[in-house]
Amino acid sequence: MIPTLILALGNPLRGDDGVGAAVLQALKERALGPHVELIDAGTPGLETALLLEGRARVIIVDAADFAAKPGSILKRDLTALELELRPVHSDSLHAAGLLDALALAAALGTFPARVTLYGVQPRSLDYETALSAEVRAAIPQLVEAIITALAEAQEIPPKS
Amino acid sequence: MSNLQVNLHHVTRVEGHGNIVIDVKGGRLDTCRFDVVETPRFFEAMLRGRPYQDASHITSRICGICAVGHATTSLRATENALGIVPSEQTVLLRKLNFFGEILDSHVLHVMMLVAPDLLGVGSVIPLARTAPTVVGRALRMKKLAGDLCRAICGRHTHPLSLTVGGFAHFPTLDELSDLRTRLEAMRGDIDDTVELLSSLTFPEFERDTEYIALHKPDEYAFIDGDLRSSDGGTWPATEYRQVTNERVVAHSSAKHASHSRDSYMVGALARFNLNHEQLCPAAIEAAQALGLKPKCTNPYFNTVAQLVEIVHAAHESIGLIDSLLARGIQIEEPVRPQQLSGEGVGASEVPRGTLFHRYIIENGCIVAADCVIPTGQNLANIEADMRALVPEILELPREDIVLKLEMLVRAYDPCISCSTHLVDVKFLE
Repeated sequence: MIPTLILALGNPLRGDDGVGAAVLQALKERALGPHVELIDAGTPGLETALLLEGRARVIIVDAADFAAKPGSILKRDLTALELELRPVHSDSLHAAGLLDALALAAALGTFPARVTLYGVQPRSLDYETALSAEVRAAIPQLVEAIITALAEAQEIPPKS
Repeated sequence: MSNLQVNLHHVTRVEGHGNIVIDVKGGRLDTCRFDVVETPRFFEAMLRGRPYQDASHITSRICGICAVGHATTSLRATENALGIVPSEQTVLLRKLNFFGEILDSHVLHVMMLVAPDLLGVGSVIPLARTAPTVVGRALRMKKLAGDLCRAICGRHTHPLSLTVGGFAHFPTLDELSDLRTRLEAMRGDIDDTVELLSSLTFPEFERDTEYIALHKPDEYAFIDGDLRSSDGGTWPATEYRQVTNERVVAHSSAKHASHSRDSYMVGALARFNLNHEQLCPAAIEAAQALGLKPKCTNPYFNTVAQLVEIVHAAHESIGLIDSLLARGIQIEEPVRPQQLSGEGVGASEVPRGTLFHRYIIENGCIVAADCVIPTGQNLANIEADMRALVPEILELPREDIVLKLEMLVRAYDPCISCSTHLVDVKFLE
């Protein structure tokens, strides 16, 4: 099992929800080394819990509405404890979301030691394949932030 | 309790929104309704004017869980309308694909939606804490089911490669061999699940009803077949409207259906009751271990019948893969239509019961469509069960009454948004 996973979530057919896939594409062009795996998981629901199993570190990239300016980036380190304490508000596992999947992993005891979520505020989640200009403009910054975070953890050799 | 009012708004762990409304006055059951409050979806109208090739892709969007079931049924309706007879390889691949979906859907229902009730927890998340092996097993089995579908139709939800007359993509022999190895390895997980469920207690409740399912002479029917009723009678699938007799009711945005009685049941229990002799030996053995005997009239046992079908689907999938490996996979062009106008019916046993699609096609475009979904056919039967059950459990504490009603609705594994064309228990107070 490759210890570090960068997991893109979201549906590229829904406008800015494709930001995860676009960031992953940009990261593919950078040498991240053999210990970093990139997965574009789309909208996997509870199966996300399986993708986390056995990883030391997971970085999740997804669109997230946190009422900021479109293109803003939110970084949150997530712990198993806060997810376990979070009330389950989803009524139906037929449409389970990311937090349900993370809570399930926490309950199963397979939650990785380090999980970081990078959320990008979308402008539009309408039916279109293009990202908005604001979200597109945020991608280089987000890619650098992820690479820096990996380097800080000495998971890729820092630039000399 | 001589007076009881239940108004359970929004039943959880089912797909979609439905409410249970019960009103007992002076010991007499005055109101007993299962309100379906989902917005109608208008898929039949969306199909009008569209080229026949689009129908399976549009209708697979009716459901994210039985998308393969809708697509397959849609293709069969179109093929029957246009005089297309698919190749033997297409039939084998579609069956294998279908078993993948049966596995995925049944594992979700049995192990993640119903198991929490039987093990006394509120949902799958606390279940993962108290019984992580059960949830881990469920996730592994679902993953394999999803991978099986992915190899054949591109992806499980809204399949890409299923097309009129055949396939637009084919699995490799290596993919099939790998899936076979994983299906063999899954037997342990299945045996453990059968052992677990046979140790758990389901609510006791018997109510005989009419059971309806597709039947084929040579196999436990999932795709195609004639309609058969436990009250007697067999009809070609083209005559489905003689059986479904859909009618509009005031409290539900989904229509109700009835045949020889006030209501009938479709789904795993109906299939088991009608076709149990055609199950594979391992599934028959599992049914015995689980105490499921035909004719079973306890609707809560629909979940048990689903587990029996999990055993059947896993074993039959291995057999199908063996046939495909022995034949080799041919890259075939889809079979072309004989004509571009006609009328056709497709019928399948999707996870929740019998599904019908009927299309009228003129010059390659759909001019009329009708889709009859399993949950819609079960709604009147769920209400009839509630009417029989409530007087039996009136003396129980209120929370036990609510739980038993919710479990009853869940036992049917309803897919409410599909049928609106589920569950809230409302105590009227």
